[in-house]
Amino acid sequence: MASLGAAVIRIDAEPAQDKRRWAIGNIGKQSMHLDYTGDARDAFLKLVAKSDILVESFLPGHLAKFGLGFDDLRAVNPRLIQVSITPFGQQAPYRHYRGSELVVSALASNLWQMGDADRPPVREPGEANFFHACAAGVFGALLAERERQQTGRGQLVDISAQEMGAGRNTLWILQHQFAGGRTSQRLGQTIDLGWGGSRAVWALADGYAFFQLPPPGSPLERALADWIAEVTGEVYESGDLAAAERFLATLSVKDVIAQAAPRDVRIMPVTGPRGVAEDPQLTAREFFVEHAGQQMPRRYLAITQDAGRGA
Amino acid sequence: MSGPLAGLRVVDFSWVVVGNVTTKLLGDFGAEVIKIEGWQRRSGERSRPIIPTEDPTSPDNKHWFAHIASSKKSVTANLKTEEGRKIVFDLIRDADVVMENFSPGTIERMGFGYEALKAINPGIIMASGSIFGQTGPLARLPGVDATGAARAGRIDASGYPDGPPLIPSHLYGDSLLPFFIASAMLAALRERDRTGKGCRIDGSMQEVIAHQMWPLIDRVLQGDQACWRTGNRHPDTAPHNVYPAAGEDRWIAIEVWSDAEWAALCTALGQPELAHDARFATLAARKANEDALDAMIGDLTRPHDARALMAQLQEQGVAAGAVQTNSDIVERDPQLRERGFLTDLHHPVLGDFGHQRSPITLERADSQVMFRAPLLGEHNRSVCKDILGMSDAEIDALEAAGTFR
Repeated sequence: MASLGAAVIRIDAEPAQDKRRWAIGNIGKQSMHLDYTGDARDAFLKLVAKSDILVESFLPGHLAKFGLGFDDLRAVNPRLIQVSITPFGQQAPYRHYRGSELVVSALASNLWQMGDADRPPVREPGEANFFHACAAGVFGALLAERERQQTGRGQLVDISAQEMGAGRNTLWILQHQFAGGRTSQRLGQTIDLGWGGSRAVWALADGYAFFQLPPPGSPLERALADWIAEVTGEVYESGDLAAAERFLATLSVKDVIAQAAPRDVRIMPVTGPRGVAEDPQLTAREFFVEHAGQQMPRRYLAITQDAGRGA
Repeated sequence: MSGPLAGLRVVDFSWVVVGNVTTKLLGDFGAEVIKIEGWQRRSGERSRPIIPTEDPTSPDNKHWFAHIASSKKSVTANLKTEEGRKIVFDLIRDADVVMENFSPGTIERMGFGYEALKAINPGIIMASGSIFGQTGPLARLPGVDATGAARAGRIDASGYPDGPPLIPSHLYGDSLLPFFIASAMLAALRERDRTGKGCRIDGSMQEVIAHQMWPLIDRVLQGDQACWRTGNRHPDTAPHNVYPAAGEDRWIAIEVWSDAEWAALCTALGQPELAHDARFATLAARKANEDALDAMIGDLTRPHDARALMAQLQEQGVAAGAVQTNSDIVERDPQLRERGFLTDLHHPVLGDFGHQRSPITLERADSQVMFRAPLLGEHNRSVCKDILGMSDAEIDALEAAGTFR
């Protein structure tokens, strides 16, 4: 919301312990320390009375214990839009369930799908579902704002991180409904988006790459075959996974970056933390900003009124 | 239409996933979304059979399309004809938003770039979704969802700590970026209503995923290498993992964030004395003995039904979740069912099936107005008549001339 120009006031009951980590999620905001459930409750309500949107992520019922539930806040400011982002949403039997990313991804069925068949499933990195839920929260707030333009009244926007995660499984939700209850499987470095397994992660000489064998007979397959022939002198037979594996394992990340794109071989080396921080594409688009000596993402989208400008 | 976006008109060039997810968000909440397609240039998912069909060449029987194109209209305007192009330009002249997700540079080559559209409608908001954005050295590199993820740290951080990077069998960037684009559209509409000026929105999957990954990336850059590719463990707490449950390949995820929750877990698992075991009594001790901790918890969870244990642990204030399959979330999850995750709609070719609503719950139940996906060219006549004011005779003539093929 701040990146779209809103005046965002971040409220914490106490100063953050890890200021560096706190700063990443709070660039572009103002900050207040306010004991809003205690001595500063009245001051908080005055701020609510003059605000358009409140964003919170406590379990349902927590703020109500302090007389700060949405009905209490709405009485102070009928135009208030409250965005509540929680693990399972404001209604239904799991609404009071606790869960961070791991538990949410388990119940969303995302966790099930990654890993080896003979090992436990393994989760996605970072806060994938909650980050997604935050993006939905912004959209929800702006939808509610459009309704408010017509009605003059605010409302509660309810975002469930489980629903966000489950919603990404469209392909497998359709497989269940139309393919006799077909269930996804964990296939290691192979992915199956519903139409058959396809090896997706390959070892390079000094790293890994995302790559899928091109369809047999396609121009993309010919491009791969030409590349293998030129470097190794070997003839690539259509769909020969082992030959592709042997070839790619001889290439460095630098080789792949230099040679693949000009040949229209669609392979992308997998980038680690340093690679992302120094990524030439992100740098060229001025994605990062340095704030108090700390590198961090500057914006979510490039928005301009001049099509020729980048960021 | 009664959704909050009623009255908003979107001309939609989307052809595979990221654009179509964006415009479904708009259509589900009441915007009038008009997909611009052609018999020769169909929206990509009309051609991708994720489930075998009797007639693979039909544009109207693809299951994925039936989901991501719900709440939209379809117009087939042959852009190789002057009349077809005029239809689209006339629609854009009075539209609010244009969406596209071709490879960067394509929409300009088609003659529908932002500068061209701005010339006929200064208030137009044009959004593009792509892997790397519209500018920069990688902008024109082709790719899919995982290409952006590969370049944003997501794949490198995925997997077991002792194994190679992995990719899950579901999408992320293709689903994440649309929420940012749709939000920016609504913000831009507000600005346009104030200034009369539109804008160009340029969304990059690599960038939104890099945003999501940045807290982890920053930790590594500060020297905390151990927080990268941790599998199911968390650098700041323990236990935090997936444990076996009764049945074949059934699992339960458990997170403990305090000593009190640790004591509650021990009690719930019938071993209250473990809370005082020096190997596990504090967070530091649990992290130091995490292998033994996980093995012991696994032994204790193994006899239990995952769902029953989840309920029992949650009752004690411990975060726990049965690891569900795609079938579980459709058939067995009471939370998703009660919240209306799937809505049965009738599709003229595929029959009745559960369509996913947009995962934003507003107070008014009818804020979402989802309807089934269009057949190819289904709205040619109604759009030309109701929006462009053409007569039946004019439309018949266009049809006869092949404008809609």
